[in-house]
Amino acid sequence: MTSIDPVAAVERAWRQESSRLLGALLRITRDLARAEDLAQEALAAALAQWPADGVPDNPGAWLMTTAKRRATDQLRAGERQLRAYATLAAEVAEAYEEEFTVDHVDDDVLRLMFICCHPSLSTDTRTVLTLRLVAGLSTREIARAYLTSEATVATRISRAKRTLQTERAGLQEPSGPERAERLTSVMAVIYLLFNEGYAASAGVDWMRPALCAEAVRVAALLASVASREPEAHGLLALLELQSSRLAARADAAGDPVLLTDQDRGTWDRAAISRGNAALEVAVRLGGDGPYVLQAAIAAEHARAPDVERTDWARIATLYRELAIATGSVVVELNRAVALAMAHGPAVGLSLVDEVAPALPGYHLVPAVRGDLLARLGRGDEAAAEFDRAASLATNERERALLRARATRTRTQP
Amino acid sequence: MKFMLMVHEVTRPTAEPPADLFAAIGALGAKETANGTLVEVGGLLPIEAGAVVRLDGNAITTVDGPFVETKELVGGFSVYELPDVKAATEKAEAFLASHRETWPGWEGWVEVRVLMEQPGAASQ
Repeated sequence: MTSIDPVAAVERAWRQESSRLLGALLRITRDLARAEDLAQEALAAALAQWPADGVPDNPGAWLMTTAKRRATDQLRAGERQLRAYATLAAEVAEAYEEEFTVDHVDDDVLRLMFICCHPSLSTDTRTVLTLRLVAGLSTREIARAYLTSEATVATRISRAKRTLQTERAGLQEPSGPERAERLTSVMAVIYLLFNEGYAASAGVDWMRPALCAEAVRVAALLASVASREPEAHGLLALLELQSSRLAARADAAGDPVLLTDQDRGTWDRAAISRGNAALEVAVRLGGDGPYVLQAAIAAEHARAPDVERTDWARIATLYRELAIATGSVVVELNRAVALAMAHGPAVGLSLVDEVAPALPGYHLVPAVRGDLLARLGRGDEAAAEFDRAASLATNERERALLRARATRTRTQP
Repeated sequence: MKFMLMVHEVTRPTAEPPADLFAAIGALGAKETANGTLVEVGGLLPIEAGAVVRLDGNAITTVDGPFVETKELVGGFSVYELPDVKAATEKAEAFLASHRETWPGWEGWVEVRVLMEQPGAASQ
């Protein structure tokens, strides 16, 4: 027993252990609702006992033992439903108890992630359920992160659980192509979670950057349990590298600062080192998927001392590979920017004109065109493009930025 | 407390490490990232890309390589935020175990050091 603050210790143990705990309980009970009840009861027991008895040396093991005792008691009491859902090997309490001693952490956590991203759930529900069950956030914390009410989150979670119950999702183990598909959707949810926090302007709510941190944590958890998947390490690398620039992305007034204008001294070097390490693992595992490629692009920016000394030719090549891997035209637009940096604005402009018909109404097409035209000294055309971009932009701050750019381009000869 | 773990390689059985090793240490790193204990990671290129500078008696000599005796040099490091040295040695053991399991014949050792975060702490 140690003398640390017991309530903080419970919170920490819960955040670190809840996914393994819940994952193991799910394996054994094959019933998400029951598994969560058992995990919550263990949490409540910890909150009741640790302040009185002290924090156990191994908090995770304590939570697991407590949940196990309750589960076994329920089984002994002959709860039919539990028997029905329990694994075949666990028809008697002893065998059931033995199930708890087997270490399946990786599979358990992955199964939990898979269930949160079950195809019967909408993407929004998947993110909320992942935050709740994998990241271990409370409904209050989730509500805060999504700027919505606790009741809305709670309703969404209980509806999701009912859907999963109907689908008997706990009993299904995806394999083969279905497993790969589910893995892709788990990664998509984590990426979405990160962007949810990343896209928000600074200072709106303190939980937004926290959302990014949660996404990194869940990505790390995924990479630790699916360690042979290069894309999982690629995603972790990407999010670490993007996170490293969080503080530099907005100025004191909260206005966005473009990558090229950011103070690189404020980039988080430790996060970059972790991102690079994860990228190295992904590449050594033969990774060349979308997350690995995006991480490689982010790593190029991270290691460049400034915009001029950035390897834009390599970035353009990586964007080309990414465009092929994803079939995304937006990626081609990014490649046009990189090409312009590497070989001059005229080269970039011809690619923009090539992809423009495929991106009607997308404000970044005229924004990029305007930028390239301005660099070619075609000020009037550039200003018209910035005006067009401003009329298409939906974000208020971005619109103001583009209008200002149009005015500036017009007044400067 | 912050701990720096430095890996010293003694025997390298193959020129390139197997992919399995990267999966194993990738899993370890990811686990520590999820736990919030991993602070920083750094890999080092072979000593041939660097140099050794030495003071012997009064003479300062710089050797650029190639090096005949390059055993037991630091190959990489990582920094962790951990409660005590026991937790740090456990990270080192896990790291070496992943080598044993995926790269037969590899031998080496991990130097576990406490980062001095307060000036003068070492002399107290």
